[in-house]
Amino acid sequence: MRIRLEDVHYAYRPDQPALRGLTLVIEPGEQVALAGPNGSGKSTLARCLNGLVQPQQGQVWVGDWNTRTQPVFAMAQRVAYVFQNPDEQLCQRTVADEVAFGPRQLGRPAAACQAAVVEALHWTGLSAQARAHPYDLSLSDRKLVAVASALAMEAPSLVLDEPTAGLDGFQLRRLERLLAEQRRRGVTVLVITHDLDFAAENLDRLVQLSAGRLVQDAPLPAAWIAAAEDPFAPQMVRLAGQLGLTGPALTPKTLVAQLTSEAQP
Amino acid sequence: MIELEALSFTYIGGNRPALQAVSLSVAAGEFVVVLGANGAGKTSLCHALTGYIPHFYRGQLTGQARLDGRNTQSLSLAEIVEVAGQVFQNPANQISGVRLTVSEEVAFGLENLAVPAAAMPARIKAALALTGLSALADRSPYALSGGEQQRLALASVLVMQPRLLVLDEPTSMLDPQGARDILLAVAALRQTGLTVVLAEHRLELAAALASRVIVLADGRIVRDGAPQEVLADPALEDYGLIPLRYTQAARLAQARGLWPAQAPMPVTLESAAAGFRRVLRGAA
Repeated sequence: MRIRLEDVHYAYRPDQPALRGLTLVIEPGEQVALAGPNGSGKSTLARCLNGLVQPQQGQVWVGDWNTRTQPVFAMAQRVAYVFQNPDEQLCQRTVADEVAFGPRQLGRPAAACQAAVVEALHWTGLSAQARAHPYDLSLSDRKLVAVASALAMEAPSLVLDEPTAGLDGFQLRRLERLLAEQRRRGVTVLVITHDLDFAAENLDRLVQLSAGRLVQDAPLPAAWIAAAEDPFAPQMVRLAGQLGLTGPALTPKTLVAQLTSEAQP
Repeated sequence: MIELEALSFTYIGGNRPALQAVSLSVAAGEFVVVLGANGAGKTSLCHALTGYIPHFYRGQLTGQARLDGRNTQSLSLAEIVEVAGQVFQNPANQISGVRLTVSEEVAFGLENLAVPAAAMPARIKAALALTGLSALADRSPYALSGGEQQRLALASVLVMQPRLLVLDEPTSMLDPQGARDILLAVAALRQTGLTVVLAEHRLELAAALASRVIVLADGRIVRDGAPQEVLADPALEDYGLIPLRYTQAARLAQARGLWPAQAPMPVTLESAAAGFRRVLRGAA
């Protein structure tokens, strides 16, 4: 589903604008990384997409819906959302009930809810914890419960606010697999992350914010050719920069492929 | 500074030990980074180093932890905090909730240590400056973002001038620049003799800071050594860690015969760049 922001302005306090005239289009099925320092407006932008934040100026469209004309519960049918802090969204006594909560609220039949729960728990690796109380799980597992809850909504777009923070390697690999599955299904995905190595290896496009403004928006290979000097660019981008490689190198595989072609006599 | 001797611990209600026969000796001035999958025992190890296990978290403990040669079980937490400070994973668990401003929150620990009032302002100011909070000194702790609360948790421990600083994923909510700045500031305190133990997920940060890296799996220490040796270990992925991309690239290049079989695996940008430059020159 296509997402479109048009000159969006928002300020929590009049003297502290969080978004200052943001225009952005995300095409159906695209997987976009949203990066930028703390306080640059990433979470505020994300909250505009499901109507939690209503721009003080400008418009937000999800498909043919303007977020101004839809209540938040209706937006949930089109945008599933995972908060940065899972404790802001978990409210049920078992993991299974938590994951079923969204589809039940949407009025889906019991059998469909059940199927969605089983599948969401499978993709997040939580099937064995279905009967556990969410608060008996570790913080990183609670985060995956929040991700599972969003998946179970089966919405055409998915917004994840820092899903990578605090995850270990096993959990990151799981997140990679579930993003690949969302790609296969054509779900539009926005991932807020500080883990640019993860973004480089899994997402299509990089949008960077600074102080509420868009400072970069480009497909991933292009986004970082100019960023080799950035100390926080993906490891392979910095390495390619040091080596003077000209082509895009986002992953160890593409870097070595570049190297092999440049090393040919 | 601190020694663990065959320390095992099972939390009350736990169905398996969180730590299993952990033996570890950390000397003054070391910067130890602890890595491992979630649930491997990183947080429990932090708690055992600072006496929260067994003084606060109850359970079955065998073996012992010695701080400056004294068994932490025979010390009180009040005695321990004079030497060892811990920053928790979740800043909400650290902030007292009884102070109205950031400065007062930082003063809380000093008051409990009965530091003379006249000595407090300078120490508070220094702790706020080190953690980049000077401009927020008069804010409410609850008006801060997650990352700022993490800075506050660190400031309120640093102000007590511990000799052992144990940090449990202290910058998980900060952006890369903020995380690196604050951890470099902590690393600089090693010159004053500070010993640091840091539980982390980010390997590149670990490589930049650590004098020693420990990997935990299922409550046991499975690797313990210099960063360049541990971070390049091919078994890292089995322990729930994604190897540095520098190492991954060198390993791929090695499989294609581009990277010499005997050459060490790089764990920093500099060593990777140097190694791959040799590869490029060799081909030319």
